Amino acid sequence: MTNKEDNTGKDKFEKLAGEYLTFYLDEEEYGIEILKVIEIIGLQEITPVPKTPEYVKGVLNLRGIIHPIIDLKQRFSMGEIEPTKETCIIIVVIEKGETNEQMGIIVDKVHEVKDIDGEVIDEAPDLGTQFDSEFILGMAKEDDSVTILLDIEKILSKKEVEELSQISDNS
Amino acid sequence: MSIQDVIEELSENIVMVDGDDKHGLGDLHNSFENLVNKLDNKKLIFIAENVTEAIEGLILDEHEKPDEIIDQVGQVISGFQRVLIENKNIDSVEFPQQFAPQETETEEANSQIELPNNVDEEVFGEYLSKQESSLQKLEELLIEVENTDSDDDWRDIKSILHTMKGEAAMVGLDEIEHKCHGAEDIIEQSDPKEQIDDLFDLKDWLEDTFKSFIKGGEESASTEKNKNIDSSQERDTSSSSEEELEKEEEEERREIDEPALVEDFLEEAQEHIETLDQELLQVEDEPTDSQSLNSLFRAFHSMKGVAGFLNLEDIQNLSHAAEDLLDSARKEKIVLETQTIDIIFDAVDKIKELMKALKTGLEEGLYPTSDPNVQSLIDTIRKLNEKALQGKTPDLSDKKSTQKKQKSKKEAQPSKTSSKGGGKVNKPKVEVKETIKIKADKLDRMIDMIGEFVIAESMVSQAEQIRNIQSLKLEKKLNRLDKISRELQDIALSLRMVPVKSTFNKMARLVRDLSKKSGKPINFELEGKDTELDKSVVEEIGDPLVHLLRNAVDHGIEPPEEREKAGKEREGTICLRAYHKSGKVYIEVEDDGQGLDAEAIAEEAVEKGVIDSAEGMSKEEKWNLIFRPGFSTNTEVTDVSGRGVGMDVVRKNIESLRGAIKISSEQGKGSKFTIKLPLTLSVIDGIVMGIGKERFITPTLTVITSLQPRREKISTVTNKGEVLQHQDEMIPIFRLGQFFDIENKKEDLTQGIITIVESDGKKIGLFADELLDKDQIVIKSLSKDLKDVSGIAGGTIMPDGNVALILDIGGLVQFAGSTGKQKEKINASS
Repeated sequence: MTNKEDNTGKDKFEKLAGEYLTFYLDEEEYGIEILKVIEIIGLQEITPVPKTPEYVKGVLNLRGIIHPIIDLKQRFSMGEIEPTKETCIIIVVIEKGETNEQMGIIVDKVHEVKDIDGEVIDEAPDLGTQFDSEFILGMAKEDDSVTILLDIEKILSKKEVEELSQISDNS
Repeated sequence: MSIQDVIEELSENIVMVDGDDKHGLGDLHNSFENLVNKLDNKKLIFIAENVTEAIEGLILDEHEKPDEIIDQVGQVISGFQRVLIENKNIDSVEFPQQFAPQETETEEANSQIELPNNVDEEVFGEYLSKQESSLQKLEELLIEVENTDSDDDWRDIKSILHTMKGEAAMVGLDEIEHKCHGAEDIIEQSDPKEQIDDLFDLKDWLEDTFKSFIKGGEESASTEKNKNIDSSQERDTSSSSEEELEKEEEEERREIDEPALVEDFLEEAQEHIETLDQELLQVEDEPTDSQSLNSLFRAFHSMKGVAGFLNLEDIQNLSHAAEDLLDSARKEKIVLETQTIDIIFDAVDKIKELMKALKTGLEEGLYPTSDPNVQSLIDTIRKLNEKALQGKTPDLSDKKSTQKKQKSKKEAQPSKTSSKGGGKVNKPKVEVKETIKIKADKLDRMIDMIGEFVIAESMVSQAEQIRNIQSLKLEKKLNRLDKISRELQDIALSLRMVPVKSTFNKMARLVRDLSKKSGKPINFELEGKDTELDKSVVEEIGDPLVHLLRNAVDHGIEPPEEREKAGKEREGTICLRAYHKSGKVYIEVEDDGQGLDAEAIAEEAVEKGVIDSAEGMSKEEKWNLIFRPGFSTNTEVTDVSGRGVGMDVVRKNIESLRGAIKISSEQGKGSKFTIKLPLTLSVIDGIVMGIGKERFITPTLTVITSLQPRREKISTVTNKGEVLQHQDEMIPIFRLGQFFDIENKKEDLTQGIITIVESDGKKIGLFADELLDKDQIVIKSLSKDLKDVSGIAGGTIMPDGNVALILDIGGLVQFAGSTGKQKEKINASS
């Protein structure tokens, strides 16, 4: 266990070490902490929810619970996902205050489960104000590939949630 | 009469008595009671008390072999003779095992393992059932720690022991408490692993002890094995000052360390408070109701125990004082008077206050400061107790009459008193009742899964392929499956249902207080306490009921003088009742007060600007004005109610529970507020509409009618807004497809269906392609991130397994009514 007060740069990434599920959006490889992943399912019929941001594809019933489904590519403004045989939905769990919520993210292709060392993790490069790096935990460099480690909790970031609730406040 | 005289008298009487001689037994009983008061040796008191109980049992014919008991009582008396008259050493004298406390060789003669005599069997059973799992955990941890020696595990072990210690203290098992404490001290040492064998021994001993309790035997489990632990504790705390120091340290640490325990306590205490309020009301009516007195005593007792364990001195001391008072009452030494009961009510209120302070303190991680008023309250209680005790001299004839009363009561209500007598004399058969506390979200998850199962089942049995199989056997099996799944669904629905009792009982207390405060005597009737409702509804219904009852007392019931003038009884009657009718739950608050004056309400409403004119309004509509915001008929703002916000809130609360409230009233005779509630919050009746490929659900409650409009009924306003003429009303048409950006299959209004819905008195017509179905819909939340989507209230899972969205009619009606500019803004922001 690392000490709470010891928060120097290296240790921050040391904490990120562990197993990640990696997947592709276009050619880029992304990773999410394996413990956040509930399961991976194939693309299914999704009920659209009107009046939501474009990247919210809708909702899906999975064993009695309604899951919001997010197109991760649209979330990152990379264009819409074109369904192929390899397209799938990763069901993840998100801690929201005291309760856990589940949601699904649509990705182009699931790759593998990788054990990532703390040493290879680096901070996300500063790409200027245009780029929202809030949901990036770090970048893992291995051989010649780079895996972008995502902070799944922040994918539906606060800003968006506020926007959503504003819509209903006005109505 | 000296002790010696009493004993002499006893030894004479016992020879004469037999099991059928009720009179003789009564005398014997009184003599023993007399003896208990005179004795000062704890062991002898214990025995004498047990014997008293046994004789009581004899009088009530509870023993199968009365002669055997009398025989043993005789032995006890001769034992007493030897100790008290011949001055023999108490330990050298043998008493019948049945009555005697178990022997120990240590000085602490009172810490034997005996069933604590003032603990209720039920409480004790619960205690035992808890210990079993604690022990199991303890053993697992011990085995693990033997290998790992990890600090975390030691801490866990310590916390288990600590909890056990506290629980043992609560039920009065001093020795277990003591030993667990000793074991805790071992772990405190630098190298606890050295003594792990002692801990294992302790665990075994505890297991044996608990087992013997469950068997109902009182054989003292050997204390041999645990000498080590005792002695090691002594080694640790060789000097008393050191011990004190350590104790203090421990207390300090507790304050920060165990918020979870305090939280548990608060939760538990809340239940006790509810019991207290309820039983106090009962005792107020019938001060000698032994069952109520017992449960009062028990509630205070358990609170005292846990509060003491958590160092909550105020609560502990207050509970203790109240417990003593009630102990006297339940032993029929005193009779509670109204004044005394009021004081107990005060004590309960004070505890509530203290708990509130504790709750706030919990958030900061600190105990609240001691309340200076507590001590005076404690003093009052103690004084009352003493005064009452002195005031009543033991009166034999009176005693007998109470006994007779008890007996007749027993005959009348065998179930009520049977648990009371004899419990300690017969080897108590402790029934370990197993209950499992489940987290609500786990339960919800299960209910979800059952719902899902039912859907899956219907999907399978309705599948075309299966229906094509022409087989009687298969059909039979499918029918069976169908039946099971239906039953499962029923069970699932019932899981969350609880009786309204808890909320209703709180109301009884409220009305009592209100009645005292306002000086209006009120007879409060509760009906249908066992009516079941979804748990969340039961909790939520409290607030509106408080408002309604306050209004009933404050505005409804007239002062006694006025009531007399009007030819009514001085005492007002308020009735709170709950019942089921056609799949809904009704809760009514009815009073026989002055009733609602429709005209006065209307005038007031106009005056306050709530409405422009009351012309043409029916009586009901005028009554309903009191639910409008900013309305109050009582010009005087009292402590109790009447700021004019209450009823507005009542209606909002009830509507948020998807219920409705109705008034009926007759001037001079009284009024009745009827609340209609759905059985659960999670199931509604809904109409399924189709728009394009999508399905939307409208709660049936909001729907007025559905129709396919004729061309001539539709007109357009400035070529934009469309209006439907329906029964002399102009209803704006709302194209759902347009709003939700979905392509309608039918653009022509006359081809589709218009569903007229109402919210807040405004109507709109929702235009959809078609009506698909009418069904019971299980509401599910659309996850937190999507819950604020405009126009959508939630989702549900359709029989095909896909999700359909439930419309938020209130939101849509509001939107349709907003101006163009607002609409643009809303549309722009999405």
